[in-house]
Amino acid sequence: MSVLSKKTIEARLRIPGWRPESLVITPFLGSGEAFDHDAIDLRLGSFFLIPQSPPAPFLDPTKPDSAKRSHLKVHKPLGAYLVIPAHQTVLGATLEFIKLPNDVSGQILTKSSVARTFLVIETAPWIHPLYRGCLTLEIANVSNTPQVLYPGFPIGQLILISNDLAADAFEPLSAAYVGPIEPEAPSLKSPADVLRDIGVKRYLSPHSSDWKSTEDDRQNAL
Amino acid sequence: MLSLRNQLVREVSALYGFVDSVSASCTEIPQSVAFTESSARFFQCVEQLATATKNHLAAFPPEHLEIATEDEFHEMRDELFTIRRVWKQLHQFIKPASDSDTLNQPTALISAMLDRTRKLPGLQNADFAIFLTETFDYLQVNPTWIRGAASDLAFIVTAEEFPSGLGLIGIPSTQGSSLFLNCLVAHEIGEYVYSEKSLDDQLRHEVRAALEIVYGADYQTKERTEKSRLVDTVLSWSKELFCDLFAVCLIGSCYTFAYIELFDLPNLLDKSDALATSRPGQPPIHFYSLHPSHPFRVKYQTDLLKQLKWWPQIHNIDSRYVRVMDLLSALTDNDFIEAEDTRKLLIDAFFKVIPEINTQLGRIVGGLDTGVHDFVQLREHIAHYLQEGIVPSTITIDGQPQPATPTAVTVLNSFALFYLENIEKLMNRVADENLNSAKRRVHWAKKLESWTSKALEDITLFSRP
Repeated sequence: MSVLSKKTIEARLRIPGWRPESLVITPFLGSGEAFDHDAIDLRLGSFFLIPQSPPAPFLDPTKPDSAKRSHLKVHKPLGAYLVIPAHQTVLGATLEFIKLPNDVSGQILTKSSVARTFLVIETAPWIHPLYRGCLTLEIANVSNTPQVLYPGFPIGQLILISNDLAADAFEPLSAAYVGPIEPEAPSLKSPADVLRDIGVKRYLSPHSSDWKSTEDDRQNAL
Repeated sequence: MLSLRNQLVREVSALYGFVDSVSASCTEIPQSVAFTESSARFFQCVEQLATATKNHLAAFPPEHLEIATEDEFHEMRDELFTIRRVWKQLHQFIKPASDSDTLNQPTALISAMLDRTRKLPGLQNADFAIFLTETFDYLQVNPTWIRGAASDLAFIVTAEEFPSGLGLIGIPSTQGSSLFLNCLVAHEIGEYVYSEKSLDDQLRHEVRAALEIVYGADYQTKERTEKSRLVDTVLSWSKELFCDLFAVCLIGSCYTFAYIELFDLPNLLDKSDALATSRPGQPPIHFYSLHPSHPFRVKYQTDLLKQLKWWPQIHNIDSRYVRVMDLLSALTDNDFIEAEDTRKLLIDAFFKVIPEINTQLGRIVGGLDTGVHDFVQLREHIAHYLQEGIVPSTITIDGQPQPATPTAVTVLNSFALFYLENIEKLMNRVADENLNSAKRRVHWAKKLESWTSKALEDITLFSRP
């Protein structure tokens, strides 16, 4: 396992994108300046999901659409900007769509110049092999000052790391890792399902003070 | 009893409130939504007209003017009537246009089509704002009509006139962000071009000549209103056909595919893929009461696709859409006229005008690259990218030192063909995917649309200097 160098990344980018061993980054703007020795700058995209309180008072894992319904989708075309108030968060995405080959994993880090303004762009930075999509960014303004975000600005750095999987295998894709071009809210897993799988028989729902059976929930779902 | 001046002031106040509420959709847009430059331009014009109108009304009736007589009162009242009439007309479009923010219209598609339209001679300033309609139909509001209405108002309230070339196009409100069906917007751009190029005036002479030929001496004996009705009917058919053919020239075969889908024309085929029009519910191929039938229009679109060299690229694909095109193209014009149709002569006259429609079309789009060459070069590669779930905006090809950037037309048509023929290949690449589930197919069709939209956006970025 090693971090891919600029030379290796460029070689992978020259392979036709549909081949399993290829790397795709598009649109790759300002190609020369976007490269560091072992990293590539990624820019901020134009779509955002801004957390909202309504309609539910909390993110409710017992309601599958809870997270999706608790965001306001906003489009800021290139040239426009978004203000993130102090201590607030927003979901964004990279402008670049990336496709990772089977033998490469990735990690996205906040660009140091951005980090020094106390903006954090990613709290789940790992990117699995075969991933294809614009990367969802969990942007947090942890400073005491409102901050202005311009779509199109370099905001993160992509580090690519080789793994020990076969490069040229046409592995089946996972639906979860194919194709977002905008930030995506998570699909929350049902506590009954997750807990039942590890043998937990009952759980507390946020809607009731009574314990519920994880097995009953499955029966009801059926 | 109130004085005449006081009565007028009351009416002016009511009108002021009306204008204020109509224009509010433009002036009170929340910061959370974004609009295309074209929409912003439309709002700016409306806002400017609203401000001028309100300033005018605030000083109305002028203090120094006497309102002593009934005539003087009505003269002023007429002015208010005109102002109200124009704002009622604008009212139809303002809120629907403000509902069409960049999240609720196919922004990348519209931008790509607008860029291409601006390459046409005399249409460098073409511009149109999108509005959402409640009807399931695509609409175009004649820019001349808007300009005319706004000019009446601008003259009264001393405001700048509406910019020339700014039109309005309506898309069904439920289809705001879809890509495939919205390829039909190209027809509305055709209507815009038809209007901007005053083609009604250019075709009217041909239509009259054609009617004189087919009706012979009978034509001259007809009442003036009847002649006018005949001319208007053929002109309206001519416009529809021109707009279809324009759309094909603008974006290629994907227009026809979207057209076939919207009007459910695969329903013309029986189970052995032969043309069958006798079963109830199947669309008739004969001329409809108000316009040429959809099958007739598809025949002409297909004939043009053949002329433009699109056909060899699409005729082999495994899709009933293409089969419909093939079968309709093989019919003659007369196959589309019902034997006992009383309008046979009228339809014959229309057929005689079609060569002139093609001539006018050639004058406008003749210099526009059809996009076929780029499509031929990149279609297979793009299909591979889509099959792998990759946005096809940077296409790397073995043996070529630099990646290729496809044109918007290539991306749109590659997407349309992939959608019709190969969506199963994409689904087969995904673990545990159910090919028989309509829900899952829609999921992947939407993904395809999103990758295509993203590619169109990227291509716009690449084309910036």
